[in-house]
Amino acid sequence: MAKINAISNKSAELTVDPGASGDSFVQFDINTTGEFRIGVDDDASDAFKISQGSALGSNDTFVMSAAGERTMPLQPAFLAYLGTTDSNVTGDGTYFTVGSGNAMTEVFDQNSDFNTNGTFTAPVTGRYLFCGQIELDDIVSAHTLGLGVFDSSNGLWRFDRSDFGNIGVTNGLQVGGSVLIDMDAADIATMDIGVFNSTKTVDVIAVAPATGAGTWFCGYLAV
Amino acid sequence: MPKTNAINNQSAELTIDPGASGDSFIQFDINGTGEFRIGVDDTDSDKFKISQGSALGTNDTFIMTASGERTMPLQPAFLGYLALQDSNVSGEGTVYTLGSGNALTEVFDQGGDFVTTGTFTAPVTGRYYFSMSLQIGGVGAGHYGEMRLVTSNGTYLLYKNDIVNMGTTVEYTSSAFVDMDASDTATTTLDVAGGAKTIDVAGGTLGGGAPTWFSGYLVA
Repeated sequence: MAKINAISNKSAELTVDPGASGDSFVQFDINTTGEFRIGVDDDASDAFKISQGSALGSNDTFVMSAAGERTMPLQPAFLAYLGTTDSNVTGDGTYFTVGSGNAMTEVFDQNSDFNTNGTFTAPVTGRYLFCGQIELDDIVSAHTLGLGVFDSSNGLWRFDRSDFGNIGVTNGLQVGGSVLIDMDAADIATMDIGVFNSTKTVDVIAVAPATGAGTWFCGYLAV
Repeated sequence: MPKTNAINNQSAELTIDPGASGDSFIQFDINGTGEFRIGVDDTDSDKFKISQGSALGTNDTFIMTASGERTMPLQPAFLGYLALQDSNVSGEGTVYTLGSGNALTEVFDQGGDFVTTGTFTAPVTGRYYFSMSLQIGGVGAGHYGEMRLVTSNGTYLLYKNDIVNMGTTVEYTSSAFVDMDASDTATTTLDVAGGAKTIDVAGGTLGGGAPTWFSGYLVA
């Protein structure tokens, strides 16, 4: 079949058809510089894409499969876990940022906005969802207060406050949560834990994902 | 350079180029009314946008930066926190709804679907994610508690325990991913029973670590 690109003033259709093979797309340029291309990628199971630049298949920012499964391969998103235990980091009221001791291990870090020291930096202004868990050990009964927070430039969001000394002495304790927060471009977010009212004996525990990751932190740009 | 909009039947390209400056876009109209415009916004770092109406930069519904960071400034999303404590709201079995006492303070409310009395109303049918945290004080003898997400399509038990064993002040935190139909509502409730009506739900400021909050957004 011949290539058919057509604008129909009767039906208000604008049809792009490369014929037997090839991508079907619209190219948005400014002053001959390819800015974005949208269309159907013939080489990727006819997925609909929004790609930065001048090619579908390179710098794909939005991919919709024919079955309606949407991915965004460059969208800021990360997951990291603690691979080595941090010992004696809190218990005396010290707030410990997960990753500030032993570096975290990244499982993925789309767009490279996460640092293994535990800090995520927002690349653009938006609403971000963060989630995480912290496993603790060597809690003593005098540790009567523990606080877990997501610490962002725009505020602190508490996800745990408990009498750790009453519930975590024998077998340790895991705390965690999730929150959708606003961030401006260049704002940062971390996950912190503070245990109070006794000595600095509390450990933040590392367990490999293969056996059940004990301490991990994740997040993504939601909207 | 002159404007160059071209249909090339050799290469199957449809190229839109305003020349040296200006947006590069396609306009979707019905009966002369601008419905949506898609294209590259020259005055906003060449971001790709899907905008309702007849202008990129106004009513942007979808923004993709050149680096692939996508935001949706009008997608339903909210975050509200309790600034002032609600005192003696449960403990003997009373079901307390977050926001029903002191109003919540909105940090953001994209779409305007959340009211500070604690109710989110789904503007469209879809899948929604909610997360919440309640700091509970005044815990006394016999108290056990439950926290739920109550939606029009179902109620989800998120947290349940003998709260008295956790201390006099504790935090209930959880999340859920649920289906909602247009106009369905979602609220967070706390029910503490087994003792006296002494349960407080703590308020606080963002700088000190907001102890009680409710957030959510339309995912898919």
